Amino acid sequence: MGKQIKKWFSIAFVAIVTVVVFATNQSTPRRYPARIPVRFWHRWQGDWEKQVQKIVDAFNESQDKYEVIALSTPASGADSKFIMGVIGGDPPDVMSMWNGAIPNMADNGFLTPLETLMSPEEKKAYFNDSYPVIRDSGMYKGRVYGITIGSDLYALYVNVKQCREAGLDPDHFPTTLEELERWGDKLNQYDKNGNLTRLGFVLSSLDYIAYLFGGGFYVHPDGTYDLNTPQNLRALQRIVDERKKLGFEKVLRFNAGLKNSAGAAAWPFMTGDLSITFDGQWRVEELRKFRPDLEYRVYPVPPPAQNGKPLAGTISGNFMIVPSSAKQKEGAWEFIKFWSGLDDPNRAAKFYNLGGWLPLSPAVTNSPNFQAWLKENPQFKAFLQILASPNCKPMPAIANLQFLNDQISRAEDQAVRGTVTPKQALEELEANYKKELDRRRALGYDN
Amino acid sequence: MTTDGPKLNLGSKVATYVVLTLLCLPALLPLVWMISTSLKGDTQIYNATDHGLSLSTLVPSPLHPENYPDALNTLPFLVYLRNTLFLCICTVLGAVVSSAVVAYGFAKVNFTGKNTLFMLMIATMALPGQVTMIPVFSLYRSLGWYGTYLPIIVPAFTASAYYVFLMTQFFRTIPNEMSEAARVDGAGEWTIFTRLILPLSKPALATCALFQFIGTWNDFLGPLLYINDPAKYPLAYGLQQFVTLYGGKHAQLMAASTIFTIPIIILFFFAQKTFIQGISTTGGK
Amino acid sequence: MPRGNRDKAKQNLVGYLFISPWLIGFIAFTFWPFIRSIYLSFTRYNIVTEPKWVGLANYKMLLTQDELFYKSAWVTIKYAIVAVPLGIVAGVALALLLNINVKGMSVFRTIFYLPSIVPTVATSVVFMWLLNPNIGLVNRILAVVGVQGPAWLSTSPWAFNSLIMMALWGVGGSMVIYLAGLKDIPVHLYEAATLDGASSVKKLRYVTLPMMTPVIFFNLVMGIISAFQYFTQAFVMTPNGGPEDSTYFYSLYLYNRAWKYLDMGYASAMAWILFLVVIVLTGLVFRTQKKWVHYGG
Repeated sequence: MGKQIKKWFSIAFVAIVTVVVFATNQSTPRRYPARIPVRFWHRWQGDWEKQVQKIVDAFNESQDKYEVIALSTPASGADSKFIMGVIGGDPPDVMSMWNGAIPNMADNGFLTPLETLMSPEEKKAYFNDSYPVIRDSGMYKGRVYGITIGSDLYALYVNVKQCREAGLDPDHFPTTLEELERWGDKLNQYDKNGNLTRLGFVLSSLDYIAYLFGGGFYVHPDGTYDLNTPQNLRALQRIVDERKKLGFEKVLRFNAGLKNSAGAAAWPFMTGDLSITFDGQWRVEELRKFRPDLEYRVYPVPPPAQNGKPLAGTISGNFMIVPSSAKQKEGAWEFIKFWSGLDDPNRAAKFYNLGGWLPLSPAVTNSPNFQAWLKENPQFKAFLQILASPNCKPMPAIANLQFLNDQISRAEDQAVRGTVTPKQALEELEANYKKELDRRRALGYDN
Repeated sequence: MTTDGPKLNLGSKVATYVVLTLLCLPALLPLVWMISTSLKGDTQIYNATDHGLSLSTLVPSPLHPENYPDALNTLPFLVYLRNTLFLCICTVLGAVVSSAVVAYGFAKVNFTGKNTLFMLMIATMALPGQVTMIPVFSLYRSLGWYGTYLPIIVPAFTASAYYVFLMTQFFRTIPNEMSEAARVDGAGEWTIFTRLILPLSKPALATCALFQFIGTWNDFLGPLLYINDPAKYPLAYGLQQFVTLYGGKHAQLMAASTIFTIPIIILFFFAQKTFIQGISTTGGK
Repeated sequence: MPRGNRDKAKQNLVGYLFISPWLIGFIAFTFWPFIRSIYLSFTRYNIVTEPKWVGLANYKMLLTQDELFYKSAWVTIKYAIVAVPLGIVAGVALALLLNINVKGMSVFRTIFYLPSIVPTVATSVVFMWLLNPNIGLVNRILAVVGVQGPAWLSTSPWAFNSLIMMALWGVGGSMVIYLAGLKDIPVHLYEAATLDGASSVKKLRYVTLPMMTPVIFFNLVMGIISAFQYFTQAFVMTPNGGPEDSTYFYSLYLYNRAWKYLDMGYASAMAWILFLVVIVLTGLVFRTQKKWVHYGG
C-alpha cells in the first residue's frame, strides 16, 4: 500500500463521512403534519410490512383527524421493545401483539382495558358479534385487552399431484388420523442412504394437536389445571410413536434441513419437500401469490378414530393492544375499529384478505368482499370451519402463559428426541408449572 | 526498526504460505458464501435437490446483482449510514480520549486506593448488563434521554473499562525510568501523559479506536432499547429488519450484510499498519 | 524516594483527576444502578409498579427448586471451560504464524481478522446456512470425504459444538491483540537469545511466551467474563435454548425471565448470582497472576 494511496484514501474517507453526516436529510416528513399523530407498532416485515402499510394508508385517507404512523419492530424483540417504550415513557399509541404475551402485560397493568374506549353500542356489537374463541383470546380476568386484526389457525395443506402419483385421491381425504398416517407412509421418499428426501406427513405441535385427542391445556378460574391428562398423553404418545417409526434422527435431520429456508417463497410445501403439512391459514394467500400453479387442498386435521374431537385446535395471532400510558387512545381506538371491522365489516374484509388472516366476526366473514375473496381462495374455508367449531379453544388466560407455552414445547421437543418418555415429559411439564405457580403465589400473584 | 518475526529461508517460506493458505479457507469460506448467496436467485439458494459440492455451488448462476439495489431500496440506507457514522465518530472520540486519560491514572500515577479502584473497574466488566439495565434505563428516562442518542454517546465519554484495562496493560510495558526522568525535569503528569506516553501508545489507541468503531458499527442492543424513531435508526438495526418473521429474503439479507461489512473491511485494511505496528512503544528500551 | 504528606496529597489529587471520567460514569451508570439491583433482587418487581419486598424468596426458589437454573449454569460453565482455552491457544498460534516476516502478510492478517468484524446478526445467519444438514456447505464438504455430517443445530451435542466453532471462527479478534503483543517484544531479547545459541523452540518457550503473558492474561480475563455473559449468538441461532436445552445459556434464561416473563426481581437475583460467580473466578485468576504473568521493563 503506497503512502500516496493511503493519504488519498484518508481524505476521501473523511470527505464521504462529512458529506453523509451533514448532507443527508434528517427525517422523512410526515404526510399529514396538521393531524394528530397516532403511533402504531407492529411485528411485520418485508412483503407483510407493505400490506400493513396499505391498511394504514387506507385509514389515513378515510378520515382527516388522525395520522397513523406505522413502525415495524423485529418480531423476536417486539414485546421487550413495547415494555421499554412503556417504562421509557414513550410508548406507541397502539400495537399489534401476539396474544400469548397479552395476559402478562395486562396483569402488570401495562394495558388499557379496551371496553373503556368503546361506546355502549360498540361494546354490545363486540360482545355479541365476534367469534367467541377469538374474543376470549384477547381477554384477561373478564376484561378486553386485545382485539384481533388477524388470527391464526392451523390445518393440513395437501399436495394434489404428489398424492395422485402415490395412488391417493386428495378429494377423498382421510377422516381419521390413523388413515392419514398410512397416507403419510406412502408419500415418504428416501435417498440411497435411507435419508428422507420427502416427508409424507408427520404429526407435531402438541399445543394444538392435543385438542384433537379430546385434551388440551387448561387452567381453570379456580386455579386448578389440566396439563398432564390421559388425553394429552395419548396425543404426545402418538406424536412420538410416529417419529419412532420413521426414526427420531431422520425426522430431526430432515426438519433441520428445511428450517433455514423458511422464507415465503421457499416454504418446503411449495418446493415439494412436504406432501402433507400442518401450517397456518396465511399460507393460502402466499400460495396464491407465489405458486398459483401449485394445486393443493386444505383439510382440518382428522381426529383419531377413538375419543377424538373433530375441528379442534387453539387460536393464536395478532391482537391490537393500547398501552395504559398511551397519549392518543381515541385515535388508537378509531384505527382498531377501522382495521378489525367493528364499524365497517365489508371494508375491513379486504384488510384481512391482504394477509390471509382470520377475521374478528361472522359479519366480516359474511361480507360481500370476504365472500368474493373466498370464492377465489376456496381452500381457506377449512380454517373458517375450525373457527366456528366449539372444539376450537382459546389459550389459557393466565399471566404466566408464556412460561406454560415454553414448557409445552419443551416437553414435546424432549419427547420427540426420545430422551424422555411422553409420560415423563408431561409429568415434568406439570411439575415445573406447579413449582412456578407456587412460587408466583408466594410472591402474591394470582396465577 | 521493526520486530517483524524471524527471517526465513525459502523452504520455510513456502511452508508458511501453504499453511496460511490452508487456514484461510475456513476463515474465508463463510464470507465467500455470504457474497455468493447475495448474488444468487431464490431458485438456486433453495434448490434442495442438489446436495453435492462443486464450484457451481459457490458461483451464482444466473447472476442476480439486482439483489443489491433491492436491498438498498427496502431500507433508507443513507439515513442509517449517516446515523451510524455520527454515532461512531462520537463514541470513538469519547471512548479513546477518556479511556487513555483514565488508563494513565491507573498505570502511572500512585494514589491512595488505586489498586482497589482498579479491581473495582475490572469487576464492572464482569457485571452482566442485565443487572444494571433496568435502573440505568429509568435513570436515562428521568434525565429525558430516552429516544435520543445520549444513552449511547454519553457513557462512551466516561471511559470503557475494557479499553482502560487494555491501555493500562500497554502503558505498564513503557518503562517508568523515562517518566521519572521527565518528572525530575519538572514536567507535570499531564505533560508526561500527552507528550511522552500518548505518542508511544499509538498502536494501543488505534486498537481501541478500531474496536470502538466496530462495536458501535455493529451495536444493535443500544439502539433497540433507546431509539424509537426510524429516522434515528443506525445500520445494524436496519440490518436486523431483514431478519424477518414471515417471508425472509435471504439473498437480500446477504446483500445487505455484505454492504454492511465491506466498509469495515476496507477500514481495517487501511488502518492495520498503525493498528498492529507495535514498534515505537518499546523504542526507549 | 521518601515523600512528604503534601506530595502524597498532590499525587492523590492528580490520580483522582485522571480517573475522574471513569469515576463519574461509574457512580452514575454502574454503582447506583448496581445497588438498586441488589435491592430489586429481594423484591417482586415488574418495572412499572413499585417493587414489593419478598425477602429471600427469589434466591430460595433459584437455589432449591429451579432445575433450569442449574442446567443453564452448567451449559455456561461448560462453554467457558471449552471455548476460553481453545480461543487462547488458537489465537496465540495464529498470531505467531502471522508474525512471520514474509511478503503479503498484511493480506493474510486482514483475512483472519475479517470474521471477527462481521456483524453478529450476519454471522449467525450465514452459519445457519452453512450448517444446514442437507444443503449447507459444511455437510457438503463432509460428504465429499464420505462422512455424513450431523444435523448441526438440531441435535444436542452438535448445537453446542456449532457455537464453539462459530466462536473459533471469530478468533481473529483476540489474534490482533496477541499480534500487537508480539510486536512489542524487544528485538534485543531475541538477539541475546540468538547469541546464547537458543533454538527457535527455545526462543518461543523462554522469550516469546513469557513476554506474551500480560496479553494472554488480559484475554483470559476477558474471555472468562464474556463467556459467562454469552448471549447474542445463542439468542439468534437457538432462541429457545436449543435441542434439549443444550444451548440454554445462563444469560438467555435470565433474559427470558426478565423480558419474557416480566419477572425483574427473579432476574435480578439471577444476575447477582452470576455476578458473584464471575467475580470469584476473576479474583482467582488475578491471584495466579504473580506466578505466571511477566510484565516487561
